[in-house]
Amino acid sequence: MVNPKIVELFIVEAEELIAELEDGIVSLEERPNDDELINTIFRAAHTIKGSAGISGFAEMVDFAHVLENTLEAVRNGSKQVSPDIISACLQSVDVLKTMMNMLQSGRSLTEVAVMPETLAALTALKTFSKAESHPPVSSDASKATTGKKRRIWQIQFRLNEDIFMNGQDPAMLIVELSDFGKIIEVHADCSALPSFENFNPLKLYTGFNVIFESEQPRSTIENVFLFVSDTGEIDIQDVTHQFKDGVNLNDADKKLGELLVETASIPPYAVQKALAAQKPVGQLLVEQGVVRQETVDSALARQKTAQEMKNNSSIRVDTDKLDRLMNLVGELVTGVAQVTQLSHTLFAEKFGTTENDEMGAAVEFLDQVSRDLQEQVMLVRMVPVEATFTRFKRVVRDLARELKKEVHLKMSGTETELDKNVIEKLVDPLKHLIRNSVDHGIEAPKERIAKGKPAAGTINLNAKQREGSIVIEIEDDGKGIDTAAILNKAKEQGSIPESAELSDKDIFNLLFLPGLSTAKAVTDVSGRGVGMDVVKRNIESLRGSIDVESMPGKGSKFIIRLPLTLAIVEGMNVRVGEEVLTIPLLSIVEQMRPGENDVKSVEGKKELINVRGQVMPLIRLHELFSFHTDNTDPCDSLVMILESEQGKYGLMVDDVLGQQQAVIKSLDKNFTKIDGVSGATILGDGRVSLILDPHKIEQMALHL
Amino acid sequence: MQSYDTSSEQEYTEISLEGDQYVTFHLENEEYGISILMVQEIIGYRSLTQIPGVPEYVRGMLNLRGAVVPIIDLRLRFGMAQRTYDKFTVIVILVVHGRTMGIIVDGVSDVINFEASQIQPTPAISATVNTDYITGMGQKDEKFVILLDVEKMLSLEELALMQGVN
Repeated sequence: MVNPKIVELFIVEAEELIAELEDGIVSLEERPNDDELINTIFRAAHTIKGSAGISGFAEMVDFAHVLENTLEAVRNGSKQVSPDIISACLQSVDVLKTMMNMLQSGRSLTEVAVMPETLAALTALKTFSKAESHPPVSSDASKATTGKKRRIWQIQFRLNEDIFMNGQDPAMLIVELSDFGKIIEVHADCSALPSFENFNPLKLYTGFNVIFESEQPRSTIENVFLFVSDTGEIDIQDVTHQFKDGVNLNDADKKLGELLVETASIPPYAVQKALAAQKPVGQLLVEQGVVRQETVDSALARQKTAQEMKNNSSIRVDTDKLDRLMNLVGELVTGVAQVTQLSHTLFAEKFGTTENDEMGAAVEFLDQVSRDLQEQVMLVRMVPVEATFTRFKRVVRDLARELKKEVHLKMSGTETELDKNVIEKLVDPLKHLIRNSVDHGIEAPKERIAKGKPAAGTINLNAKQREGSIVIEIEDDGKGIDTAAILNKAKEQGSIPESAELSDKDIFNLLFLPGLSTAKAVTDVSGRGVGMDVVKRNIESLRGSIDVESMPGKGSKFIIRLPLTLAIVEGMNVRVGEEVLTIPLLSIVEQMRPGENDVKSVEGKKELINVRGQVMPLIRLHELFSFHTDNTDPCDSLVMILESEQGKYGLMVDDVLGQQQAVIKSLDKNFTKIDGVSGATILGDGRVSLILDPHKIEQMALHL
Repeated sequence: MQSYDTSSEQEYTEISLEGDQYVTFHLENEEYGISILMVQEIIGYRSLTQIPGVPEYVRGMLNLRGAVVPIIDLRLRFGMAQRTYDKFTVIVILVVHGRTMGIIVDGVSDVINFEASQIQPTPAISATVNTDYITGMGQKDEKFVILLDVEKMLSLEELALMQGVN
């Protein structure tokens, strides 16, 4: 059995790598000639294999190895990127994901090897990793004529000093090499040359660096060095990927001096001497009187800090730990609030005044600091939406292929940050909306061309921060929403009366009714009428909202607004009997003290309240929750007018105590969910207050 | 890979005491015991926040250093008569199935060490408490302690608090 901690670490790491792999493979289809991208994908696959090996998952190693072979074929050019290769690779990504799921649920991977998905993926991959039966299309004439892949080798060797005594000669070795291929470059490494007086002409001081192109296998090259291999250091590397049309791509990153030394045009000390003679730009500027020394120093210091910051990589932290930290900081804020209160009281008692309250000032400072701390901790939970957005590329790609459409997914604002918990719960609704856009929004290529649009449709996925909330937009340039069809369907289903006249906005909102779908045919993708209502519900459970805009023939846009964090809600504290409850400020429309004629009973039980001519249900909170209070007459109480999905209603409470930024605590962590309550928070005096769920309360009271 | 096996689980060194320690408390005229390993801490009674829609024995919640902890009155849970809380009333904070919960008891007595030989199987005589919740009777120096199976007694299923049940 493998150490569970290691498995846990492996899972976290591998999930990221698999995501990277998947993203890379999808992108490769768009940019098949991007060598850097191919290398990234290859590295990801390779690292997965390595990590799986370390963690002892042989089945995963074997599988990743086959994938790696296929990718290697792509990397060395023996295989061209094709949709089939991409599909095969993606198929294997899915198998890797299945393996991860199995590991996560603590199952052994032994059964993976015989699963049909695995076998299918392996078969698909192996067709591509096999040696090519026909030559690949390539601009390189030599490749085309030989049919075999020429590889480029870098051979670095430094032989024993006394090699001449054995009748060997490095020059002969290089000549022998040239029998098997083409020597591209030879560099001599003269760094070991002694000074002239110590120079012995019978000794070998130079090392060699040969770049060699050949279609011979590595063993042929090794055979050339067979007789000298035990008397020196010989390093043979396949560097094919570094070369493109005979040009060493690594040269791009090298400094001029390095290149000159490498090609032996100048000795290294000459470069060093030249560099030493060169003055730093800051010094030159100071000398020219353009800038003062202090300014240069401070700029240098800033540069150093920035460089250090850049090197400061991130660390992985368990979200549980963050939650605990968050809890503690919340406690700290509460504690400081109590101390503030106490210190004021004590000071007033002792000195009979609150003027010049030094203690109070000190405590207030503490209060400020702890609030800042709370905010910082909150920020730690924020993660960019990029990783989540990126995975939709695959969704779009697969679906577009299936539907024989061309769709580009463009993303912007991927650096926008959201609470990790929010992001996780947003994946499914977003995926649904994007699938909808591909399926219903974007037209088939022929249809698009007929309309004068480009054959390929575009979906824009955009995230941004606006006024304390996050806005995510999904916009397509497809056919738009058919308002007439929705209206007919809704009338047909009896969701709205036959005679109803609705604005476009109201019609778009019908989309979110359960069971409403205008798709002509029910497909695997959508059209079953489940979905949009779930999307809306999911988003609302995140205390967010969704809106639709659409222009016939131009496209549609779904706009999702979300709070920055789920950890905090702006709340209004109200009292019922001895209990203090918290109502989310966002759902409160107003508060009122009803007059005698404003409250009417219907059918003996249900009550209605008249708010300036608008009649809405009245819910007595103390009755609903069975809390004891002496205030049973609405005219002696306050009525909070709340807005929920169904409309407005009045909630009767004893008193309003004030506004509070409530740190939300979940109840089901230690307990269980409670009807009508979305969570709890800690009040300034340390007591627990329940946070009400206005929507649930309405359901409980009115639809019993 | 075997090389990792050794580091996986470290055995705790046995404390030299034989048997198990129990925190004992009383309800009515009887003494009860809970394995000390389940007990996180003991705090004095304080006012609780009421929870709507739960059985009467769930008296409410309190704030324990930032955690919201549900509190159960053990008298009501066992169907005994309610008693006014006084200065002896304490709340025993327990960790059951990873959840922190509290029970209100009349007062805490002691921590007693029972060896296996001092624990008798559950007799079928206890009328007040469902024998399913009793693991045995501890006996030491003329003293009888009813040892409770807290994990069973306070599981959400037993408390009829699973979603949809209440």
